[in-house]
Order: sequence, then structure tokens, then C-alpha cells
Amino acid sequence: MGDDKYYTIQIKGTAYRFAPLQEDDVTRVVTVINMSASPLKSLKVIMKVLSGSAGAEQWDAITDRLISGEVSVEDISGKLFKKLVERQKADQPAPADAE
Amino acid sequence: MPSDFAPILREPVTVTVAGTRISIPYQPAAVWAKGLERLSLLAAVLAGPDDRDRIADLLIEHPHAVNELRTESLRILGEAAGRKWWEAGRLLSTSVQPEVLGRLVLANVDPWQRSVGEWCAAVYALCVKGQDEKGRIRFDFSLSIPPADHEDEWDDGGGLDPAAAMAAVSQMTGKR
Repeated sequence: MGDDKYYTIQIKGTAYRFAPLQEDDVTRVVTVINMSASPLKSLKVIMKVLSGSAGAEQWDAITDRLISGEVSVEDISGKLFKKLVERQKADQPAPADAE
Repeated sequence: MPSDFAPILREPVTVTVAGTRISIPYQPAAVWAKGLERLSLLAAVLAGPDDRDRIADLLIEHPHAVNELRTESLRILGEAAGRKWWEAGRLLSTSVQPEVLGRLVLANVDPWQRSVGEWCAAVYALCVKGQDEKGRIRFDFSLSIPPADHEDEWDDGGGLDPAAAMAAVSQMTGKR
């Protein structure tokens, strides 16, 4: 995976750059969400994976906005993660055997 | 080591995820059948709420644990059913087909009262009932074929005599 590849995503008026998510990390998030653990675990795994993608400085800024209430948990856990995965998927070439 | 009596036991099974042993309580066949919808997470689905959260924490902290959870989920299905996990999976899927389920219910075999091993045995018995030897061998063979990417888990019993293997294949295919 190229180190210079980033996705720019806006969260409530501010743009952030996210590194592509590793496939294993996406699997990890989907697994925790699907196993019907407590909702806090889903949030925890999404935040862990996104923090790596955003980098420490940006993630600090995002969590500050989360704590201040400017940004909601839904903005992070649902919208941001989903958007990032969708952007990544759209970027991927179709499988070789696809019609 | 799995016991020969595993299919009739009502005991917990243990999984190890990221080095942590977690006991999965006994669950009746109906719960296992429903859990097939999330086969790779089966161990987490069958676990109690606290242990499910524990497994989630392990997955969050240890990226490789997702694969372990999958492997352990497949293993306990085989262990509890007393046969290969894919055989148990196929029998469980077959068990909810309307005609099969109807016959089982009419025979008073209740998936909420039976272990997954007993339920699979009942489905198997129903499927081979009235079949001649050839039909039974054919059914056993189709049941025993591992799914894609799991071919190396196929235990052919080792040391199969080539002549006996050829004879068996001839019999299965009806070619002499």
C-alpha cells in the first residue's frame, strides 16, 4: 500500500486527511460490530482504527471536538468510518474475473 | 481432546483467543443453528454477554485475534457436533429446510431440547433413511467434502489402500 495515499474527508466543516485503512482493520471493525457486543465496544474499535488512519495530531483535534460536543459519536463511528471504507472501495480496481 | 461422547454432552466448550481461555456455556442446537449466520464469529455469538465483551476487547487489542476467533469458532462447532465442522454446518443448514424440519418436529425432536451433536445425528439419520448402500456412500461423500480453502483439513483417514480407494470411487460413481 502506498504511503502517500490519503483520503480527505470533512467532519462538520473541517477537512482531515486519512490514510487508507488496512483490510485487516476493516475486518476487525466489522467483526466487533457483528458480534453483538456492547455498543461501546463497536465505538472503541472504530476509534482505534480511525486514530491510526488519522494520525496522532489530527486525531487529537477530532477527539477534542468530540469531547466539546461539536462533533457527535455518530459523526465518527457511523458516518466517517463508512465514508472512508466507501471511498477506499470505490478506489479499488475491479477483480480480474469481474465481467 | 474431543470425546466420543461429545455429541450427547451438555458441557461448556472452551476457546482460546489472543492467549485468553474463554468458556462458552452449553447451548442447545437451535442456538448453534442460528449462529451459523455468523459462522466466523460463532464463539462470540454463543458466549455470554460479559465474555462477548471480553472477546471484543481482545479483538480490539490484538489484530490477529480475528483469525483466531474464526478458527476457534469452526473448531468448537466440530467439537460439539462430534464431526467435521463443515459436516455439522451442512447438517444444521439442512435441518431448517421446511421438509426436514417438519419431519424432525413431527418426530418430536426439538432443537431447543437437543445438543447440536444430537440434532446433527437426527438430521443425518433422516437423510440416509431408506437409502441403499450406494446412496448412503454418495451422501456421506458429499457431506465430507470440505469447503473451498479448507481442503487441507480433509482427513482421509491416512494410509488408504489405493486399490480400496479405486474400488470405492468406482462404486460411488457407478463406473466399473
